[in-house]
Formats: sequence, C-alpha cells, structure tokens
Amino acid sequence: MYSKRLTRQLKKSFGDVAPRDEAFASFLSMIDEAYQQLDEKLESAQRNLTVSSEELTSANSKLYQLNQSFDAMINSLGQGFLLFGEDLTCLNVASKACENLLECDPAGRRIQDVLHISGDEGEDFTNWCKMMFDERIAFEDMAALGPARFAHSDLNRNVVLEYKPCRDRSGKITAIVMVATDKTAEFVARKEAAELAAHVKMITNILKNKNRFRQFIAEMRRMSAELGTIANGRKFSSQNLDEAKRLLHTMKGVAGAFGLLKVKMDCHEAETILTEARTPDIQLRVLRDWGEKIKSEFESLIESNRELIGDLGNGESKREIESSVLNGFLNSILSASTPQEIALAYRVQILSVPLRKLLFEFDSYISEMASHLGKRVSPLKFAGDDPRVLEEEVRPLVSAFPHILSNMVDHGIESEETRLARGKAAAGSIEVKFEQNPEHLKIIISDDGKGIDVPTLRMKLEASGEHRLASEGSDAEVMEQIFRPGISTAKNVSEFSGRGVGMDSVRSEIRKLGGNISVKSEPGKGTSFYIELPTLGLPSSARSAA
Amino acid sequence: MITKDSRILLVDDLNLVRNMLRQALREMGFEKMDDASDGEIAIAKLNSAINEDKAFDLVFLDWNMPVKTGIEVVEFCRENEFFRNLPIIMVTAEAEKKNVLKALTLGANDYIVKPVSQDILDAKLKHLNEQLAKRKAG
Repeated sequence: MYSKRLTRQLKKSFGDVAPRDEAFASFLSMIDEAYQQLDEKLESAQRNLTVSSEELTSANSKLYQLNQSFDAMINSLGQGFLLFGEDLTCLNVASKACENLLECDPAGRRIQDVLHISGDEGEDFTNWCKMMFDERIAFEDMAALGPARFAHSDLNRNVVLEYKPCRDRSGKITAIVMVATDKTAEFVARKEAAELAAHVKMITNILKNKNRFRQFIAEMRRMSAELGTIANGRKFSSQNLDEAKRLLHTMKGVAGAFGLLKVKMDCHEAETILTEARTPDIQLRVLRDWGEKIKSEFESLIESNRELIGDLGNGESKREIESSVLNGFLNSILSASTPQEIALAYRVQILSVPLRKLLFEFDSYISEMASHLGKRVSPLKFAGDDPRVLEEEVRPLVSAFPHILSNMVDHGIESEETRLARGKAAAGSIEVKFEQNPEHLKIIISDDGKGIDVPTLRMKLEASGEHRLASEGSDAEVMEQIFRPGISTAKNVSEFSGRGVGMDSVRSEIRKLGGNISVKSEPGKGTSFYIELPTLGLPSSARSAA
Repeated sequence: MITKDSRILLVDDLNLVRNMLRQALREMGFEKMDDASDGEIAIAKLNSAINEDKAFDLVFLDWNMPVKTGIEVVEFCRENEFFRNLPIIMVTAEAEKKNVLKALTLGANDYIVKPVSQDILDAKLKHLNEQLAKRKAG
C-alpha cells in the first residue's frame, strides 16, 4: 500500500514512466515489505509499553498495599519506631505509638528534642549520634552508650529505647532506627503475679508451721522495736547505723523465709535508701519513716489474715505434744527425787525440739530462691549428731541461718550448666553437720559450689583502702573479711544478697549466743561455715538423750 | 596495625585490674607489656619509650585514677604530635559509661567494660585494626 502511494506520487511528478517495469515493481514491493515490518515493530513496541505501564500500576498498588500493611504492622506492635538521619532530624516515618510512648509526633523534629535532651547533655548526645554514624566504634558498642530510657512525664511508665542501624548498599549507615518499647505492663504484671504467688506461699508457710510463725511474729516485733529505739534515740552514731542496717537485713531475711514479700521488699528498699543517705539527719529520718512503714505493713498483714492464720498474733507459743512424749514425761516425774530433776525433764522432754527440724524449715526457701536464680539445689542434708535445743534460746541462730543459705545459693552454687561443665552434679548440695561435746555445739554448713572468690575480694579490699590486706594477707585472712561490714563479692545488689551486710549480721547474731563463726573455702570445691556455740540452757548430756 | 609484637601500656591504679588485663593479653599471645598506676606515670612512660625508640603501639586506660585521670591522658595524647594517633582503649566499669562518651569525644579509640574477657578483647583489637587500615588508606 505504501508502494501505490509512491507510484501515484511518481506519476504526478514524471508522467507515466515505465509503470510496468518489473525491476521497478519489485523495488516497490520491497519498500512495502520494509514498511510493513516497521509497522509491526512499532505496534509490538506500543503493545509492550502498554503492558509494562499496566504492570507498573499494579506494582504501585502492591507497593502501596505493602506500605499500608507495613504501617499497620508497626502501628499494631505498640512499639514506637522512628528514623533519624545524619542531620539528627527525624524522618517522616514513625509509628503511631510514638505519640503515646514519646509524647509527640517525631516527624521533622530533632531527635534531641524528641528525647528532651538539653544543656550539657545535648553536646554529649550530639557527639554520641555522630560517632554512631561514623562507626569508628562498633555500632552496638556505641549504641550501648546512648539513652536507654525515655523520660516519660508519667513516672510510672517504663519506656525502653533501642537503636538499630539502617544501611545503604555499600554498608554505610544512612539512618538510625530508634525503637521505643513500653515495658510498664510487663513490669506490673510480673510484680502482680509475684505478689499473688508470694501471698499463697506465705499462707502455706504459716499453716504448715503455725508455731514457728508465732515466734517469727515475736521476732519481727522485737527487731522492729529495736529499730524504733535507734530511730528515736538521742544519740546516733555510726555503730547505730550499722546495727540498724543489720536489723533491716535480718528482718528482710526472715520475712523472705516466710514469704512476706511486701515486708521483705520494704526492708530491702529501706536498706538501699539508708545506704545512700549521706548525713545523720537524713539517715534518722529514713529510719523513722521506713521503720514505721515496715511495722504497719507487717501488723496489717497479720491483721488482714487473722481469719486464715488464727489468733497467732499474740506471739505466745503453742505446741502439740504426742501422747508417748507425755507418758515419758509422767514417768520422769514419778521417778524424780528433786524438783530440779522435774524441771530438767520438763525442759528436755517437753520444751526442747530437734535443731534439725527448726533448720529444715528453710529448705523450701532455698529451693525457691535457687529456681528464682535459675539454679538447682538438692534438699537440705543433715549429718552427725541430732541435738535438741530450746527454741527461744537459739532464735538468733535460726534467724541467721537463712542468710548463710542465701549466700551459698546466690554466690556459691553455680548454674546447672556450669556445674555440669565442671563435672559436678546438676543440683548443688548444702549439708549441715552437727558435732556435740560437753562444752560446745559445732555446726558445719557446707556447699559444693565454686568457693569464695578471693581475687575479687582482694580487689574490693584494695578499693576500700585495705592495701596491706589486699596484697599481703593470706587467703584465709582475706576470706575472714566477708564478715566485715560492707564487703561482698556479689557483682550486683539483689533482693537476696549483695550489699555486704549479710555475713556481718550473721556473725553479730551468732555472737549474741556467745558463739563464733568462721569460714573455709576451696576454689571450685565449695565453702564451709563453722559455727561454734557454747552449751546453752540444756546440759549437753541431756541434749541428744531425750 | 596491632600485632603480637606490639608494645602495650596498661594504665590503672588497681594492681589487680592491671594483672587481669596482662594475663588475658598474655594468653592471647602479647609479650611486650608495661604498666602504670596513674596518669602521670603513664605520660612519663610514653615519653621515655619514645626516647628509647620503643614507642608504645596501644594503651589500655582506666578512667578514674589519682594524680592524673584517664581523660587528662587522652587530652595530652591528642594534643601531642607523637601520640596524636596512638590507639587508646578506655577500660571502664559498667556504671561509668557516661564518662566513656567524653573520652571517645576527645579521641579515645574504643572502650571496654570490666571485667574484660578474651573474646571482647579480641573483637576490639580486630575492629581497631580495621579502623587503622581505613585511616591508612584514607
């Protein structure tokens, strides 16, 4: 068809020039063919163009959907996500949760303003950001130096901040993602669950051993009163302060052993605040306020559980006595020749209890504490003699006992993994051995844990100015220092131990009985505490005879 | 470039920390180490090493020391033509991280949190070598 148009054109210009010339005709058809091919190519090119633009539209809508679902996803996570670039300004992408968690829409704002960082800290913060971008130091190490928490206007909110790098293809950081996570609910839920579990445990503990609980109440009241005497005394010395810390620590231990979580936490809190208080005025005020708080917390706990635990609050001891024991006592009375003999029989047969029984009550305490720390401990083992004691007389020993145990579980016994790696049994073991002779009662409490960390202890001594002891003292001398106030090998203060008050108050309680305590330890093998007590109210011959 | 042949200066007022570092580094194959118990002694040792042609290649530096603090040592080094590029790794306790930022801003190369482990030391030295290579290339 192109050739016809061309022929017409030629005719117009040149007249009828050899239209039947075959060569010319074949030339024209070649042109036709070429044009046709061109047409087809054009058509196919156009078709391709149409298809790809359709594809483009569909891809666009897919991208849009993807963006939408991405937005929906990050918005539903409840976490605050924001991106900031090297100019330290937030980009226009941030999740909805930022408004709630960071209390603003970060888009377009300076990251420094979003985090309320100003003044001197502003410069540090800017430097920190710059160093994250230039990566002179590994990103994670640098990120660890940044703000870890958002200063929310609601002080109960716990908003945690994390940082991740956003890189281009060459690996260079182009932006930093900041993730804000609200851990408040997690924190509160964990606290509530722990409180409920503790309450159940407390009631079980009390019901299991009403008698011991009665004594516990008496003991708490005694210590609470002592605390009050110090807080309201005319003179306040550093000895008073140490004594107050010891009392709080002992109260924390016994409250913990009975599962009185709130009282325990209050004691812990009071200890912390007291340690941080710098002047005697503040220390006294802390003692007064917290002493009252702990006392009323404790009393209201007793009061609110009265129907469950019965009228235990009067602190008077009640005992169940088997008829065989009563018969034995009756026989002793009948065969006695002096009133002293009757009195002795009464003390030995009716009043005394096996010391093993008193101490075994802490078994559930250590297994619970161990599981809290991700460790395992076998049930408490006893060996040697089976001494009987008058409960009232050994109270200081009984209140010191949970501290020794918690020290062993916290610092001595290793995690299951470590123990297995060292060829030990998965569960740690604690043994209490009694040795009686006419003058003394020896109690040896041993664990099979990692032993006392003497090098760390030396470092602590060095840090507290004891240079001679730190560098020249024998291992045994250094170990004895765990009984000093303020020394602990624990890396962190936990609710169980670590403030360096524990073993100090243990020694002070043992000394109240006229006894003493010492320690021996072998690295990797374990630690033993040696307690030596003088003869108490019961003549030694009568102790294990009953 | 830090190699097993490099000379390392350990600066800390606690003998025990120095020993811990020394032991860890020795187990990693480093032999040439010296130490200093405060910032002033550290600077004196850095200077005399240069005069004896035994310049240090790396410094582990504590933050909190008597006489001269770690920060002062970093400042001294970065203002001195001989030590401008001397690699310095701050040794810090977990609670002192805020101070680390100051030292890094002033030009310390990296930081390490006590107690140190060989793994972390290894990672830090690797990163340091990468940075030194980059600096040389750039």
